[in-house]
Amino acid sequence: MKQPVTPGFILAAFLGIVLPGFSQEALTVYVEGETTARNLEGKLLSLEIGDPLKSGESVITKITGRADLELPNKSTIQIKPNTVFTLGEVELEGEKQTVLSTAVGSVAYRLNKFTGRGPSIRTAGAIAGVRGTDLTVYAGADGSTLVVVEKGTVAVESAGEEVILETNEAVEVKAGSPPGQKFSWIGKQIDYSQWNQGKLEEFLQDPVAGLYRVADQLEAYRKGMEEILPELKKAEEEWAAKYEELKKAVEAKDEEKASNLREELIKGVGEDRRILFLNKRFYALSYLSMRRYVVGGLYLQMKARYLTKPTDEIFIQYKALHEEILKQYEEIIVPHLVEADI
Amino acid sequence: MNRNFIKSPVVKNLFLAALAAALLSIFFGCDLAGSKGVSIEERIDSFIEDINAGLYDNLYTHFHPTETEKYAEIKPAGFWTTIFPDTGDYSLSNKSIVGSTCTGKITGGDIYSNTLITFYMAKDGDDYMIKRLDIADVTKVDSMIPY
Repeated sequence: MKQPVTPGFILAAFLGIVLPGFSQEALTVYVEGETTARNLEGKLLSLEIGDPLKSGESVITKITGRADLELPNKSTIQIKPNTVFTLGEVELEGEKQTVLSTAVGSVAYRLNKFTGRGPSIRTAGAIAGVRGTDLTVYAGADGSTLVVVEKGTVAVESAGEEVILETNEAVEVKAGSPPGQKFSWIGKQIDYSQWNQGKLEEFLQDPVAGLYRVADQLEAYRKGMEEILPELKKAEEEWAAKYEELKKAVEAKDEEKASNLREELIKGVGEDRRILFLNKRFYALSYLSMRRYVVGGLYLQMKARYLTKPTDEIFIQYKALHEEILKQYEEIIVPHLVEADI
Repeated sequence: MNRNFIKSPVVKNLFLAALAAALLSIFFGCDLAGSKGVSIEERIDSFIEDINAGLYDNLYTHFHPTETEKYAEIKPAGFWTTIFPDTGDYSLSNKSIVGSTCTGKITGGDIYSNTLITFYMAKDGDDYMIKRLDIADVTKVDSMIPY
C-alpha cells in the first residue's frame, strides 16, 4: 500500500534509515524540582525516578524542574526547565518510528546509534532526523525552534526545505517557515531562557505576523491529516465493498470465496485502513498539542499585555486570527479527536 | 432432623457465617478464597461483551493504559469498526490460557469463522488488561516491547 508521505518519511529516506526500529519507551533516570508527567488519560502525575514514559505521554517541567530519560539503546534525553516534552510514535511503511517532541522549552539529546529507523525529533515548527548524535533542541513560546548540534549530523526539515547540520552548527526555524541560515555556535553561550525571551519579544513586536507563522505550522498538520483522509476514505470504501461481497458469499455458502475475502479484509485492505487511521490520529494529536501549548500560551501573553487596552487595533487583529485558529481547530481537528484527548 | 444440633450456639454461629459468605459470593460475585481483581478470562469476556453490545467507545478501556502502544490513537470507536463490524454476534471458543496469553477461536461478523485470536495480557494493579491483540497472526493492537 502507498503510505502517506510525511516530512519525517522524506527525511528518513534521505538518511537511508530503513531497518526496523525499536518501540519507544523511556525510563526516568533523574528528576529534579517541579516535574510532572501527563499520562495517556490526560492526568498530571508526579514523575519519579524509575517511572517509565510510554508512547503518548508527556513530561512537563516548571521553572525549577528537569528530568533525564533513557531510551532502551542507552540514548539520553535531558528535559530542561519550563519544557513540555512528549514521547510518540508514527508508523511508516509498516515500520514504527519514535517521535521525540518538544512543544515548548529545551531538550538535549545524546543519541547512540539505533539498530533501525532513527527517531524523528520534532518541535511545533521543525523536524530533525538524527543518528548517533548529540544535539539540543530549543522550542520557543512563539513556535520557533533552535537546533544546536554538538556532535554528528542532523537533517532539519521544515516547510518542505531541509538543511544539514554538522558538528558545532546550529539553525533557527521560525514556525511555519523553512530553516534559516545555519551558523557555527562555537564560542556562543546559548541560554534557553534568554533565547526564549528574545523570541517572545520578537513575537510581541509584531504579534499578528507571529501568529500567522504559527497558523502556517498548524496548516501543515492540517494538510498532513487531510492528505490522509482521501486515502482513508478510499480504504474504507474498499473495505465496505469487500465486506458486502463477503456477506453475499456467506449467504450463498461459497466458502472458498468467503475465505479469500476474509483474508483480504483482515490482512489486506483492513490493515491499510488501520494504519491510515492511526496516522490521521497522529496529525490530529500534533495539532492539538501546538494549539494547547503554543497558541494557548501566546494568547495568555497577549491578553496580559493588552489587559488595559483591549480595543487596540493590534489586539483586535490578533484576537480575530486567534479565534479563526480556534474555529478551524473546532471544525477540522476536533472531529478527529475524542473526549479523552481533550 | 436433629433440632438440638442447630440450636447449639457454636454451630448456629458457624451456620450464620457460612450463610453470610454464600450471600456475599452470590451478590458480589467475589471469590472469597481466590484472587481479587479482574481475571484474564473476565477481561476477555467483558471485551467481547462490549463488542456485542456495540460499545466501541469503550473498547480501549480494556487495554493496558501504559503497556499498549498507541493507546491514545486506539481510543476512537472508528478504529474498531473495521476490525469488529457491528453485528453483535461474536463468540470465542477453544479458549486456552497459558501464562498471561490467551488464545482462542473467534467467530462472528461474517469476517471471522473460527479465526485464531490471541490476547496478550498484563496486570494493571489487580486487574488483567489486554496489551496486545492479534487476529489471524496480524497484530491489530501492539504492545510496548518490554524495557
